[in-house]
Amino acid sequence: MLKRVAPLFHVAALLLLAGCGQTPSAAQSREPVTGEATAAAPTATPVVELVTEEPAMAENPNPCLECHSDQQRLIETAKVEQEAPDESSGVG
Amino acid sequence: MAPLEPWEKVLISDPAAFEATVHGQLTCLRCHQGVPSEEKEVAHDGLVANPSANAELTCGQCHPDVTASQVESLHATQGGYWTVLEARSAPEHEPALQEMFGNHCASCHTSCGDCHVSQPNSVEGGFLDGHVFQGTPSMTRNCTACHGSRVGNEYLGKHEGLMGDVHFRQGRMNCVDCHSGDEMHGDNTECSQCHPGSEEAEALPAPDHRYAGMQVPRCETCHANAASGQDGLAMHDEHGGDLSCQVCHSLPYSNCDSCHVAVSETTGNPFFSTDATYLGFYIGRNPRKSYARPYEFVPLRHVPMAEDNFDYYGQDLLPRFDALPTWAYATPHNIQRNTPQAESCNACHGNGELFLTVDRVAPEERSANEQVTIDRVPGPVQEEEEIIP
Repeated sequence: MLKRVAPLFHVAALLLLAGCGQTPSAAQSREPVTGEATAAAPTATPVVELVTEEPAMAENPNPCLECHSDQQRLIETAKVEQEAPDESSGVG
Repeated sequence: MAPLEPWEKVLISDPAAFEATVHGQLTCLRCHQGVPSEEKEVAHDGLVANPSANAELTCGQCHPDVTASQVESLHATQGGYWTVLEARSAPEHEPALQEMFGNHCASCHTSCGDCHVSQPNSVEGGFLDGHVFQGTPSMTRNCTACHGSRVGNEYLGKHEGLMGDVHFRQGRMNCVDCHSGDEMHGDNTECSQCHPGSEEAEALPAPDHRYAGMQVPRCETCHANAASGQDGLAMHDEHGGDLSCQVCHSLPYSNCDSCHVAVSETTGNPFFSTDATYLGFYIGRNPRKSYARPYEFVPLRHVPMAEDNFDYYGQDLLPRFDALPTWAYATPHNIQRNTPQAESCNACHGNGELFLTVDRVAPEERSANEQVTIDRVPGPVQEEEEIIP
């Protein structure tokens, strides 16, 4: 008899515990911070949005470093830039 | 300074050294965004190359005291340009001038990273030290990378026949030895904070120009004895309040004539053309006389302003061209203890070569320069009155 009733007790206990669950944390409920250019005009400041939650990363937390510390790889993957001739003259 | 190779600009040469720093404790994405991936194209999706372009949301998270004032500093706003443009123009021309400014001037805007992580855009960027943040900017790779053609060349003695500044030659002083972080970041301190109730402090207008407000740096901060009546030198006693220090202690400096700007029809790129650049030393009347800069006479530098500089963007965009002189208050950075004009009283008195008289001003600019030109060169003094220090 007890074996039959035990699963029912477990289900009831889980339902009760779920009712006592955490309310969302301040961090979770925070509105995403958006950026608006605050510098006084005139500036060419682009708007940047702050990353409030970093994307989940695998084992390597900074994969950027692997490439950016590899000189040969940077040379091989560098974008070829076509330099336009500078038409300015005189001292700037 | 030769531009860096593309790979060199973004090479983290010593990752261990970077990771050992406070900034190295943050993940790259925290500031630069993008996507964690080993594939370049994927990793750079949404990348923010210069996070400090919006300093309050990046650097300001840890340095709020600095970024709060920095966004209003002249390095960030380039407000000094607008002070002189607005004075010479009219409100209806602002859209055209905004376009001109965006094409030709705004790239000199400076963010935190341009001084503390990378070289500025004017020399095409690139890490200073493998992305290790620099508390003190480099004199040659940061400061004179932008302030090179005038300040840098003068200070480092790059003009043929003219010595570099004594503070560099003998003192080995760097820019930041005089120009403090507070000055660079913008100091929001108002005079009345220290002088409450002072009528003089209250009467000062809000700073809108690099020579507005208090004089910072100030020679007397280190050379207190040189203030009038302190060191017994007759020249200091006689001229302490009348002449700015540079009148006696500077050498000839760079002057420029007009800077016409346009956008290339072939490449679509903005370009400029300055008419002439020449060395000279010209004493004139102080156009920015104030409580902090009470001098009667100062060195004047010709700025590259001409009435038709911006004609590409519209006709007659500077209808009040004469509102400001084209010979501007200058603080040359080639200070010497002894200079030709200070050898004796009559090295200056009676020496017409040193003074900006009307005949030395271009006819089309005479009206603009009425307030700074000298009517009559001060006459020689009697030999027996001469006291050579």
